Amino acid sequence: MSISLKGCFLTFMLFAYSIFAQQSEALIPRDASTVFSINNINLLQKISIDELVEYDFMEELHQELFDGSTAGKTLKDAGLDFDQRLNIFYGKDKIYELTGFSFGIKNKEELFQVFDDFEYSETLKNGAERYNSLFNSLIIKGNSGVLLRIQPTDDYLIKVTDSLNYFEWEETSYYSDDQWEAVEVEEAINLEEEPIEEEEGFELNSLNEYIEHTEQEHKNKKTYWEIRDSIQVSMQTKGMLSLIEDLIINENSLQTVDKRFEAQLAKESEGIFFIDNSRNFSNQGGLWYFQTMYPILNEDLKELYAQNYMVGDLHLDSNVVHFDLRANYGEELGSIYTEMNNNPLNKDFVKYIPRDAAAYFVYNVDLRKAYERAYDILLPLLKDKRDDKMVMNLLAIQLLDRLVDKDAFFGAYKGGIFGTFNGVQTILTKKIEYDWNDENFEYTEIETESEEDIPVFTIGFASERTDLCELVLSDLSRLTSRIERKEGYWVIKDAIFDAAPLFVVCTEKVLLLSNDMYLVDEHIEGYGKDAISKKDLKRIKKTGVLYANMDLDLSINHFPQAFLDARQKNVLNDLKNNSGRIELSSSYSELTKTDYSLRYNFESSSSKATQFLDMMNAMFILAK
Amino acid sequence: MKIFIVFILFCCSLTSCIEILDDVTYNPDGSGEFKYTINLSSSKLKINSILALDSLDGKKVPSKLELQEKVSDIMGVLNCQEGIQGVSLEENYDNFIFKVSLHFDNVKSLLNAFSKTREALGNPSDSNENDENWVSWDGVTLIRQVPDLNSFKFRLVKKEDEELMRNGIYTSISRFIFPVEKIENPSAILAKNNKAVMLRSSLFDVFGNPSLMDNTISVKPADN
Repeated sequence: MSISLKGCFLTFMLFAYSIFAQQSEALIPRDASTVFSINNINLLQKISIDELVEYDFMEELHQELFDGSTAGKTLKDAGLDFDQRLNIFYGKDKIYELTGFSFGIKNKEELFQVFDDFEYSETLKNGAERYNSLFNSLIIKGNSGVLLRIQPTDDYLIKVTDSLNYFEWEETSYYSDDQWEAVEVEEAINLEEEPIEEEEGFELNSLNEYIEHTEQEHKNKKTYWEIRDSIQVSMQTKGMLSLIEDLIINENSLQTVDKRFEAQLAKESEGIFFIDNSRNFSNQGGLWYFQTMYPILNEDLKELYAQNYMVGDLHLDSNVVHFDLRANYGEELGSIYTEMNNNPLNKDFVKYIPRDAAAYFVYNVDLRKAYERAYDILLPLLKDKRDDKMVMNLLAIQLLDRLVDKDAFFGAYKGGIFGTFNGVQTILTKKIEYDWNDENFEYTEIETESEEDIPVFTIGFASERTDLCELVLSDLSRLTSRIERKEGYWVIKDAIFDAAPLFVVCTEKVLLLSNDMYLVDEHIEGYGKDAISKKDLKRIKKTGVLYANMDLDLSINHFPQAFLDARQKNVLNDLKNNSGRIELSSSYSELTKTDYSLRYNFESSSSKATQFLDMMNAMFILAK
Repeated sequence: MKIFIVFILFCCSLTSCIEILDDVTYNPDGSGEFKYTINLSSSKLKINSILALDSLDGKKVPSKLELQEKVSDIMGVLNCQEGIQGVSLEENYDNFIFKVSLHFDNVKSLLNAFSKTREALGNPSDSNENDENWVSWDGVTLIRQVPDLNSFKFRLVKKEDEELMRNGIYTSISRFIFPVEKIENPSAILAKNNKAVMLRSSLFDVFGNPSLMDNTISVKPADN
């Protein structure tokens, strides 16, 4: 009996442990608005840590890990528990930016051989251990750990530092972006110090004392950058304490406070992600004007975005990374999206997409329908406001709505657009060379032709009023010889970077801009049998607002990175040197959701895990 | 979509090239004329595409106006230097050809003017003495190197830039009033009139090994 009871108790304990044991996902802070969680981390066992830390989602941890302690080690050597998820998270509000990752721990000793910069700091009251490094904190609770980094946003830090008004009179030294080389800036500063008034009984001693006092005061002053650093460190410390209190002591994680995230965690795909756009929305830099000028309106729009979040599942089959994304939103926003997005495919688009296009996309929106719906939804929301600026703004919107001929306006620009990239072609441009006289090496400049490679592209806009474009070009051609009418199209000479021509084709339903000579010479009515296959067409027809298809070999790998910003460059780098196709499509929008699907068929010598991480990293950068 | 448009618009050739031409006339009295030409006409597609951007590799791309201002600053400083006259600049933004020419009283004035200009523009020289004294001319013997190219060196480090330099050409011409008697650099070519010497090399080679353009030329004065 007693043995049987013990057995039951033991079984119960084991069961309870497996159910209630601390898992890494419980260590994701609730302030995280973007989370990537890798379920099948077995896949990553052979990935070297050095390779892993190269990914952008590990960027913040670079200093900690990339110091030799990781050389030749894989994740397996790092003491991680591959039965737990690896969760990477990011969050940002107006004050703090938070990054980190949580993971399972199998062997603490091995873990600290990798995280060798962390030193024990304290044991928290619930038994969790805290370790600190220069920038980050590592908390170990049970068999899971979380590495946290929190820092004030640049904007907030500058605002706080500047608010001290401490440096008006000081010479400031700052660092150039280029080389972090100290540059002394001579500012034209008027020292607005109080003049020393000669008072009765004024003595030389008191002047000396004054000078001494002032000099001492100047010595004690810190520079702007020192003060800013102090504020930053102080805010980091405060932010970290409060984060640990909330996440570790009070156990308020994203999983416990957000049921949507918890539901997503129950998925069995190799990876999941979660982006809460309602929180990202207020952080959109592009909306600063809106936020400043119309705070009330901004709050209303936030309401509109309240139920806006995205969840995704990343699946990995033999040579396919399949990414399913669902954009969720409230019904009001959804009613605008359904009007805007659910339109039949513009047939005039597809006839201008060549079968062998390296990349193409079709974005099939109807702005007129979206405008009408948005007008109906937003206007009542804003009508309640008594703010004078808001009233004037609304008045302007309503007057425009009544005065502008919407049929003409939206007829000219319907919103739908497609683009194709047809590879690279060599064009002839002019260059100046020197003709040498052997007699005395005097020279004259001569104009010769030079070959330059240029990408061939076509962009088409849905329009029922291409006659307006004809009108504009026709009038402008009387002013400049650079614009010329040809048989069925217009040519604008040297329109692309003063070197290559741009062709404008005004068809009945589409306005085409292209530099593809082959298109205007041979296929001005469309590519006919050389257009995309019926099979592809069928696929595009099934999709909703967006369809894109890209051959990595022919497009991404030739992408000129010099012309991209750091974020775009990072995304491309992750996909570079792989071959295969990427296909992105969307479903028809429903009242509360739109589904997107991204399939990446890779043919690469690199491992599945690398492909998986490449894709996940690209998503992380785009979502950040 | 934005990425796509950026992609198709800003793709550019890697086969573009730069041509640099320095053409210096040395008079027997030590004075002379310095002409320096940078010809980017065969890279204009690339340059126009770069100028269309706000930033490149995280650094701000200057506008044409800012470029003009910078060049004008350089001209202003050069104009004020002792022993330098007739500073002129030709800017051709259609083909991206820039030509500077000036007269100098003696090569010391020329060297001094370059050094002062660099300092005035906030690039205090960190080059060694040889770079500072890249030319000497006593009326009979010319000892010269290429003018300071090192300032470019740090910026042209990417693979793409490397390719650009491989296709680029550096031409250096030294002209004299009297016939040339002796040339030390075996790669140099003498004009048929015996009064001009030309050295040509790929920019890549010059950056890698500037001594390729070193030369010592002796002329035969009329009274000898």
